[in-house]
Amino acid sequence: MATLVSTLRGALRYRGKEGQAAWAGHRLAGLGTLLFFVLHVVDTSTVYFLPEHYETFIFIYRSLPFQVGEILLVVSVIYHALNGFRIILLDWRPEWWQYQRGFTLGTFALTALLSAPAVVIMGGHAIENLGLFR
Amino acid sequence: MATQARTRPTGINRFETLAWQYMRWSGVLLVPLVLGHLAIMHIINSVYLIDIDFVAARWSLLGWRIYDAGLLWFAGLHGLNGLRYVIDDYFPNPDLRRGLKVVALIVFAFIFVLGSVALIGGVRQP
Repeated sequence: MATLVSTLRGALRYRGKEGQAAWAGHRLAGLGTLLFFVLHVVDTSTVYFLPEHYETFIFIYRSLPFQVGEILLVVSVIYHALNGFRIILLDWRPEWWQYQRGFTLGTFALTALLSAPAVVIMGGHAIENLGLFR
Repeated sequence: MATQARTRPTGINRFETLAWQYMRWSGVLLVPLVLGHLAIMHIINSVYLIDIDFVAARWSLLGWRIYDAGLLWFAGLHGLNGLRYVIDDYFPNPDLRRGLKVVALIVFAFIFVLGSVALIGGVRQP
């Protein structure tokens, strides 16, 4: 545990700039997606094991905190996918490492660009159905 | 010896090589699989439209069950291996590391069984 704490403290002190941010983002997005994956398999499997409880899960997912989580999930997956492609691309063409900063910033920009419509549409569903801002 | 020949390391860890390659190939495959799933289920449709009848209608097509089985297994194994890397990074104590990996393996074995049985068994209307 002490090692985990010192690792995390080191991560905060280490000034790796955008490269470190890309790495940390990839890890966080992966772990977050994994957490939802486990929950999502459990909720979907209730259609067979406990069919009367499926709607309980859906009811929980329709709440505001889970709506925020769902939007974060989609952004996480988009980032994890794009950053994964960046890693594959730079492994495939090591000479492109001279442009690594551009690739990383491009990944961030592309994530924002592709996430924007998803966030707007999903946010719209949530706002409409939760009756927010009325 | 001025020049060093590029030598293959002895005792290559075959499992780690396969795990690394699996992350690459499954990652590429998961991009259309996961983004397709998210687009259809979470963006075009939404959790406000989905209920058990929706799942029943979707799973009446075998193709969607195979699609979901692909998601379950490819994403699950990709995530489990990723979790293994994370455990290796943050827990230097070998006993704790081993214990955490065993726990992760048990949890994921349970998840794979749960998901697979539900996919084969299908929707049981309440």
